[in-house]
Amino acid sequence: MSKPWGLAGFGIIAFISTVAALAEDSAQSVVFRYQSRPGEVVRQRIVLQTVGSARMGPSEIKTGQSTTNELKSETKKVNADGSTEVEVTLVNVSMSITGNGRRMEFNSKTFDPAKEHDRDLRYLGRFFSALAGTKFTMESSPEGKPTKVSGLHDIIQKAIDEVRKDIEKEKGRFFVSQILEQVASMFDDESVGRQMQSYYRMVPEKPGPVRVGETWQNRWIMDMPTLNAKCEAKGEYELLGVETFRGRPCAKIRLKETLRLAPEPERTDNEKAKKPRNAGLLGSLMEQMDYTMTTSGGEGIAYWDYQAGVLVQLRQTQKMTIEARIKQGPATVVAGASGLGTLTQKLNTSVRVDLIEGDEATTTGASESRPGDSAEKAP
Amino acid sequence: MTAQVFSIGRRRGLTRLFRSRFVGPGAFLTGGHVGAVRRWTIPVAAWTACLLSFIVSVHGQSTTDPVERSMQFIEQSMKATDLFNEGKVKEALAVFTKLLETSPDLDEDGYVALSVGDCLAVLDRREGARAAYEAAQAAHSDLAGAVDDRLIELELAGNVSDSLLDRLRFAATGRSEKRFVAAWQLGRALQKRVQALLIEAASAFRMAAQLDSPIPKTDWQADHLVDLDDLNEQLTGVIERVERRWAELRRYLSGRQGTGEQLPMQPSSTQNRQYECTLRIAGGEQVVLRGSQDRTDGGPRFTANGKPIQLNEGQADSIRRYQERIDHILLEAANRRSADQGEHHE
Repeated sequence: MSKPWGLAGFGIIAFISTVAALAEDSAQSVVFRYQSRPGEVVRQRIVLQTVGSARMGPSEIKTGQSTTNELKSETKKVNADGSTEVEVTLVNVSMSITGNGRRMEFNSKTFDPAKEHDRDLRYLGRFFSALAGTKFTMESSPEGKPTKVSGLHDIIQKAIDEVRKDIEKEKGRFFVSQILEQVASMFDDESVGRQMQSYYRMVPEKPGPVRVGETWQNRWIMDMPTLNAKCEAKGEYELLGVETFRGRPCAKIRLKETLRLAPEPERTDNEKAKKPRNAGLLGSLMEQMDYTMTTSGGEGIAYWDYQAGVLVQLRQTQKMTIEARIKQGPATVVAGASGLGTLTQKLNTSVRVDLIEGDEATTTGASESRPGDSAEKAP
Repeated sequence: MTAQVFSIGRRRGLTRLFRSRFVGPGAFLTGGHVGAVRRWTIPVAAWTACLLSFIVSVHGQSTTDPVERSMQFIEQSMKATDLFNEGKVKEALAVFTKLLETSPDLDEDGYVALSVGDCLAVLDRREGARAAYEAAQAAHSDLAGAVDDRLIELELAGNVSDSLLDRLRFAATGRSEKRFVAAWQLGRALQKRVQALLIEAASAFRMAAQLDSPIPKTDWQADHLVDLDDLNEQLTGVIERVERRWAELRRYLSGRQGTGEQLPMQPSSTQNRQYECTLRIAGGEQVVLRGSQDRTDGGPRFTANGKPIQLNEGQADSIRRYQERIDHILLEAANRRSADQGEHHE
């Protein structure tokens, strides 16, 4: 065969093989399984980044917050029906917050209260240090979906109480206590349970095979701990393909999750006093605000090991605008806050979950990595 | 847009490559006949199409993966925000500007577009800031309020226009939910306008003093100019104090602590000031006013018929200013008197 025709042949073969591969891919299907065994250990790094602005009246600040949590999950018990009890350890917590011309950084692995000269940071540092190494129990359904988280509440409360004692003893600032209470609400059993569930929602609930191109939906209600409301969430998912990712058989899933604010019905002053929705002064202030929230984005890509039932990687972004207005009415007017306009928060958030395996699981601390630094990029 | 241009560039490059590497040797192998070149065209085009689709698809995955782009956008926004908050505004501006150039589609809420203007405003590049804010508003109509506030602050830093005053009057007296802010801004704008008018008035009187006068010149003109200059000086102090208060208010609203700066209230160079007078007011009542200077903070303390008078900040400030003015007049008069006596002795 002459050279020209050889090249032509190569081109035709390449073309046919590409078409064949596409055809084969579209015919693929996958069955999602969850086969956890006692003693099985999974380590994951979760990086949350939020950037945006908060504006009220003539004042606006730019804020950025990055939180990295490293979790170790060990299956302790597999029940006869396939449901499991998993012990989750919060291996490391690191946080970086900038805003108002100020930067606060904290890493539970490296935090040394003796070296931290800023008193407020020292309090926060002590709190997060107490969280590092915390263990809690997560119960999962036979399909691997977290159903209950327990054991965190008491640990968090103990950590807060200890730091609060220090604050009172050293005559620290009141607002730090308030911040701690808000932060603590992010780490209670319910909030962490919700967070854990969010990393499993992309798995289809229907049993049996799912074909490439097939779509499914999920709806759920969740509390917004910092707002006076519940959120109606809707997720739309699509199986994009089946491929080997980081050496694991993975389902590549596209996500699109949207949030809609569903305010709770008005409560009487008596009900509010009995059980405030939010703790502390900030909480009572929030009770006096009306909120609107709009979101966009919510797109993401997940790689799910469909044989082991493990999330290998998730990348997702979301945009959110929250507007808060002081409620009109003589009983709920906050002194000095009228005439300033609306409090507007615009946030752009990303979440990245990575399964930590091999050498990285033993050598890399969460604090040493940043999103996008992973050696292996998504194909 | 960038990715598209890049792809086209790659295609053109490949076409040149094929011309030089394949068309040339092909012509050589076939003896350079045109027909032979034509025979090349179809297979090479087919192969090129396959190769290009591969290159474009690989290229597309790395730069057009929407999730990865969005993740990187947030990462870079974080970086720029950190730099801004650390006071590295030039560096922040570079990152924000690049983000706006490369990913305007991802800046849905206009955060990056506004931040470009904010950086320029901090760097005192007012015209650039204004252009950036206007561009942000053109691209994001929902930013009208945020942009308007920023443009007002830019204008308040320079010359106050009539249209700004009209807008602020409307906002401050209307039913706007931002009337508190608008009232402050109107007050600040009017003070600046008054100062501009005072300066212009002084300038007009100076000009008049230099022109041929149809009436005999008198000393009152010089005294009047001194009064205007004095008023201007006092107004400068008032404006500076209000601007500091405004900055404090903004810091307070954003949760920042105050600077702890004490506004200048008390004279530092006077000691043992004493004041006493008896006033007869309507109805024949007699009020004895006494004033003295506090030994610890130097501030004025007054009594009326022996009872302490509580002065608010504005009243204390007015008394301080008038006392300074009286001191100034007396010192000036004393100096003139000394000078007169010196001349007389000579």
